[in-house]
Amino acid sequence: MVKEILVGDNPFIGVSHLSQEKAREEAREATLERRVAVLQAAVEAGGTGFTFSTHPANLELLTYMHDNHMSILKKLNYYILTPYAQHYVRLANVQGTPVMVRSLLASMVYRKTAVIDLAITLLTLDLNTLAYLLIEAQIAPYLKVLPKQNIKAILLHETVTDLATAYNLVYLFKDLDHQLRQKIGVPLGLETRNLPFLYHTLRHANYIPQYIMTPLNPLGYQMAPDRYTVERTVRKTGNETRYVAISILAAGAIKPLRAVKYLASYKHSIYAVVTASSKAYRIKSNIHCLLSLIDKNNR
Amino acid sequence: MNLCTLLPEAVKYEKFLSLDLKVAIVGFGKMGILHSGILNMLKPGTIRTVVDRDRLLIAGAARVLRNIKFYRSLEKMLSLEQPDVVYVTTPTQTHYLILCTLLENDTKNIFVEKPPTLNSEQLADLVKRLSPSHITMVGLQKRYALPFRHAKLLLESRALGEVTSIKACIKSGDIRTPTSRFDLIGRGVLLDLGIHLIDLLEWMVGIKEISEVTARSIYTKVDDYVNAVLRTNRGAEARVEVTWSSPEHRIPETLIQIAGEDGTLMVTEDCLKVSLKNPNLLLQGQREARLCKPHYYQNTPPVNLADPEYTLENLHFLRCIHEREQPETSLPRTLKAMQVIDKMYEVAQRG
Repeated sequence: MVKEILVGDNPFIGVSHLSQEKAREEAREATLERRVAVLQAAVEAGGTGFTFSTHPANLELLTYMHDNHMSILKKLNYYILTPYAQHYVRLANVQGTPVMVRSLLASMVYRKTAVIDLAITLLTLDLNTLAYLLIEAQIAPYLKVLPKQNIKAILLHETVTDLATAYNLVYLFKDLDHQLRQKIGVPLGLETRNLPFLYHTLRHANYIPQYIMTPLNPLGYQMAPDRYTVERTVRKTGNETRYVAISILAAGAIKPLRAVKYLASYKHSIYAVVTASSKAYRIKSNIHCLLSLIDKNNR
Repeated sequence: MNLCTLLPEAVKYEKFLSLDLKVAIVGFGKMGILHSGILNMLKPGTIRTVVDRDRLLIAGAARVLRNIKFYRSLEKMLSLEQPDVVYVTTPTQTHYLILCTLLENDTKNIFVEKPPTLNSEQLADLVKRLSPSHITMVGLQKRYALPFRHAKLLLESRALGEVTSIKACIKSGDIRTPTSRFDLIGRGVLLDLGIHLIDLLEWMVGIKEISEVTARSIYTKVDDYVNAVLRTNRGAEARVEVTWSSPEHRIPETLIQIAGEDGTLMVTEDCLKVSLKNPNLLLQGQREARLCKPHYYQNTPPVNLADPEYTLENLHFLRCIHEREQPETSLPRTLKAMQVIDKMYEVAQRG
């Protein structure tokens, strides 16, 4: 049963899966005031959470909310998506991958004891801990501004999830999940655009994360290998993990009403749906539409 | 228009995966990791071997990826592993020597990331060494993006009539701080990013002449911004702009606007916008259309990692290996675009 309606951050950070022209337009529109207004409108309309990448624009927004709108901040749950992959792609383009890896390691030393952790990790080539230190460094500034009990999951960005799955590195997920739960008290979630492949690999390794974020729309957009296989996986496994449905409007190619009609047949298998806009009025109307997916007793 | 026309690679693609290919990756950076990820997702266990010179990277990766053999020497890997397919994803300046080594060792199936070489002279030399049994492919993935393929079909069908003018640009925001990474290569954005645009133009309309080129550096010692006026095979003017220092561009974007006597089109990696005088079957009998990624990529490609065109180019390569056909972006077919780029650098230097 759908329990949460989350606000997504794509328009806040210049990401559009429809076109880059639209992304630039939205990024120009997404001033701090407008981003705050979107979150306010979302809360008023019945939105329950915010899922966002560890992008500087989101840190700016959440820090501002922390200082000026704590009451709104407290009303939302948080699903943090990390790492912000495009940042590292750009670094690799500018510096080359080996230099990027080294500067990444350097960026992890944000607290004094991290130097020791990192040194031990590198000397012992303990890559599980290295992965944890990387994630910890990414989310650390957000942990300072968000109400800790409202952080529900740390989700691995789809590029990392899908690449790690391609190499069958499920043990890294397992260990990361364990370390995050132990040290921060938050479970790991996985974002993917290749759900059946991921699920098959996870099940084989006997590990199912608490949350899986994946595109779900009637066009089969970003649903690899195809819509039907993804739908079948969601239906079959909705009781084993909490699905967070993204790209529900197929990047704006379909109307919210069509998306709601489509998602209604999966509402017993989905835990949350994500909607995004750079405009307060639109987020309100999207959420109003999506509320029909939530059981009235849960509202 | 059905999917077979626009996307033949995705039709019954499973049979292209039936060959038990031993694939080696040379250069385990961003692109090497991406291609190997896609290949492994298409068929688990496809990547058997990786070659990279970076000790830290190799030590770390070997520890994690236990089913893959890692080497620091290309020659050693070739003699011990004898791979069926080699992906070359190292920095551009190393491509020529690596490709020479692969051809000397008679590696039959070679994929090399763009640009294939530093200049057309190196590429022409490699082309001379190829035999008909070699299947080579350059990673010019934009060619496999469906909006560009759709635009090409429209141009081929002469839906726009005689082309009168073209405006084209490719922009990214990758280089916005000083870097010396390109000093060794001696060439900048025109070769690194511009090759996509020049290749697309050469493929769509053909380039006959280079009229003007101006290049300037902003953050590097090479060209960060290039402006040019070209002439197509049929004499239309093409205004071209290339930069990797655009603050507005989070990720690279290619934009081609073509005006013809019977219509106009505007195409990017994401969208195609067409306006024609007459209805056209390629637009499902309409005169106008605006189609974006969600319209093109429905239930395809079978693996979604980074942009869909990366999976499509890998499927294209695998299909060509299976069918023993030359890829659309084979080394010989990329030569003309590389010659245009050389000429553009010459004109820029003269100017």
